Amino acid sequence: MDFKEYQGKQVLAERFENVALGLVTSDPNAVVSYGCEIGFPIVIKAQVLIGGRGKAGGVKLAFNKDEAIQISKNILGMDIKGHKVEELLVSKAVDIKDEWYMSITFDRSNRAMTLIFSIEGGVDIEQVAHESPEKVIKMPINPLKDIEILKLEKELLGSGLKSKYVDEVVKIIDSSYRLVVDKDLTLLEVNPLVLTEEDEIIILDCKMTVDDTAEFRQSNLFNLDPKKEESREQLAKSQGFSYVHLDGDIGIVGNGAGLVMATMDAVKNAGGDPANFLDIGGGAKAEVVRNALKLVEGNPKVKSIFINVFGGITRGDEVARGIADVVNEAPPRVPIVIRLTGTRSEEGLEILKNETDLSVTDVMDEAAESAVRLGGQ
Amino acid sequence: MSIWLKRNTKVIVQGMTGREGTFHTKNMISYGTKVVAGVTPGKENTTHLDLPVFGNCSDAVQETGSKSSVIFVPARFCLAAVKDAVDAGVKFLVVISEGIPLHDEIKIGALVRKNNVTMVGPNCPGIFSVGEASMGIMPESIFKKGNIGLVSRSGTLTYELVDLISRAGLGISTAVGIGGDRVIGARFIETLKAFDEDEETSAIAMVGEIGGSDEEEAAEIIPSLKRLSKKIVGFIGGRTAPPGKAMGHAGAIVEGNKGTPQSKVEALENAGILVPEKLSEIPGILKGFID
Repeated sequence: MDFKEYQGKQVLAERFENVALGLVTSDPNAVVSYGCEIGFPIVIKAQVLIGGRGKAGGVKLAFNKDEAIQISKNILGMDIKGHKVEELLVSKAVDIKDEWYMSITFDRSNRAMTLIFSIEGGVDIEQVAHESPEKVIKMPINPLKDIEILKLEKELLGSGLKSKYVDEVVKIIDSSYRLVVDKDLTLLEVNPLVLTEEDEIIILDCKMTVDDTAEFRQSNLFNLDPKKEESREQLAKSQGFSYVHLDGDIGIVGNGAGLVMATMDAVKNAGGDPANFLDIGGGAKAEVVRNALKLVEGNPKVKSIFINVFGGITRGDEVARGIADVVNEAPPRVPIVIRLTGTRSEEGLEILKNETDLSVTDVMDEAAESAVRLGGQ
Repeated sequence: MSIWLKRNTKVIVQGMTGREGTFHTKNMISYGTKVVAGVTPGKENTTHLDLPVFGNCSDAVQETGSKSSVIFVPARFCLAAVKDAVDAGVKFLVVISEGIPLHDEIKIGALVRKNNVTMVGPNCPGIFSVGEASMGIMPESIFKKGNIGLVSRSGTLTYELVDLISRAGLGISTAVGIGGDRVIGARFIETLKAFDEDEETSAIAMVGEIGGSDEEEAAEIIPSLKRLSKKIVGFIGGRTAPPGKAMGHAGAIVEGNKGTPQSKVEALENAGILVPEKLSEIPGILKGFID
C-alpha cells in the first residue's frame, strides 16, 4: 500500500524530529489561518498517490493570505494524472541551501534492500544516475547485519557530501533503514532531503510503500487512512483472491498466478481481450470460487467467462461445488466455459455434469477459443 | 534419475500437523516419498500419520539423520521455520508457504545462501522426481516418467505443461517449481545447471513469467552448459499483462522497462532457445530435441 506524503511523514515523525509535518486540510480558510500562525511564505502541496505533482501545478508557494486562498482553491479538486486532489499539506517555506536524495528500496538483482543517496536531490534521480553516476551511491544492505557505518561514511564522502554533514546523514540513513525493517516498508524515498540556510537537515518530502503481505503485523499502518475507499481490487483481496481489472470483455477465473497469466495470453491468442486477472489462489474453497465468479460477472463489460482450474493444492471438487452453487442460485448472465483438470477433477467433473448444464473441456487452447467465440455472439 | 530429490531422500515435514500439511504429506507418502518425521513447535513427543513429531528441526535431524525438509507453515512463521531448519543442518529445503513478507523473504534468502542450502521456493509447488519422490503439492496423476527436466516460476503452469508433455507421450525426470516471489532460493540458473549434470535428463523446458530478470540472467549462462545448452525450450507467461500491476505473484510485475516479456523472450532467443507463444507448442519442440 502506498502512502500519501503526509501519512508517510507521520510515520517518519515517530523516529525523526526534523520532519516538515505541517497541516493537512481540505479547507482553504484553514490554510490561511495556519499561514498567519506560522508566518508566510508557505508551501501548499497537493496530497495524491502519484509523482510529478510539481510539474502538474500541485505544489505552490503562497506569500500572503490572498495567494493562499487562491492557490488552495486552485489545487483542491485538481486532477493529477487521474488522481483527484482532496487534501492539501501546508508547511512553512524553508530557505534551501542544498537538496539531497535518499531512498531505501528493494533491489531484485541483489535480493536485498538497497540504499540510494545523492547530493543531487530534488530532481529525477535516474537522470542524475545517468549523467553523473559518481554522484549517486548505491549500496545493498546485508539483511543479516546492520548498515556498515564505516563503509557508508566513506561512500558519502566519496560522493561529494561535505564532511561536516556526514555524521548526521549517516544517522538519518541508519534510522531510516531500521524504520524500513520495523515497519515492513518496501520503499522509503526522501526527495529532497534538504539542507537549510541555517544548516539544518530536514525531511521535506517522502514516498512510502508498506508491504501488503505484512498487513498481519502492521495493522496500525494499514489503518492510517480512514478514507481509504474499497476498490474492486481490495474487495477481492478481502475475499481471499487477487484481482486486477483490465479493459477487455472475456472474464477470467483461474488458480495460480502463472496459469491465470497464461490463460490471459491464450484468450489473446484466440483473438479475445481479457476483462480481468483473477487468481483464486491455492487451496481455494467453494465459497471463494463463488465470490470470484460473482465479482467477474458483476463487471458489465464481461461477455463470457473462462474458468481455468488445474488442481494441485486446489481441489477440483471444491471448485466445481462453488461453480454449481452460483449457477444454480441464479442462471449466469453470460456463457461460462470451464476447463478443469488435476487433483480431484474427476469428482469435480461429476458434480458439474450432474448438477449443471455447463460444458466442460480439458484442453486450455480449445477452452480459450470457445470462450472468445461465445463472448462474440 | 533426477535432481536434488531422490528415491532414498529422507524428508522432514515442517507444519505436518496442519490441514494442508496433513493432506499433502499423505500424498507424498503414498507416492513413496521417505517421510521420516514432522516438526511442529508445541507438538513434540506426539505422532501424526504414524510418524514422530518433533518440536524443532534439530531434534528431528538428530533422530532421523534427514537433511531435507519441506515447509508448510503459515507465512508469518516461515522465517522462524527456515532458521530452525538451517540451524539444524538441513541442506535441501522446499518452502511451499505463500504470502511471506518481503523483509522475511530477504532474510530467508540470505540465510540459505550463507549456509549453502539449496532452497526451492517460497510460494511454490515444490519438487517432483517422477517414480521416486515428491516434496510439495504437485499432483502425481499427471506425471509420466521420462527424461525431460522441467523448471517453472509458476505452480499451476507447471501442472499444465506436465500434463501436455504426458499427453504427447513424453515424460519428466524432475519437475521443479521455483516459485514466483520477489526473492527465491534456487533460480533458473542453479536449476538448469543441476539438470545439465543429471545424465538422465536429456532436454529441459523452462517456464518463466514477467517481472524480475532471472530469465535474462539464465540466458547468459545457458551457452556455457556442458550438455543441454541446445536442448532447452522456453516459455514466458503474462505476455499480455499490463505494466505496473502485480499479477498475483509478488514477482510478476513489470516495473518500468524491467521485467518485460519482450526482454525475456529476446534474451532467451539470443541464447539460441525457442520461445513459443503457446504452451501447447512445447511438447512438439521437446520431441525434436529427443529424437
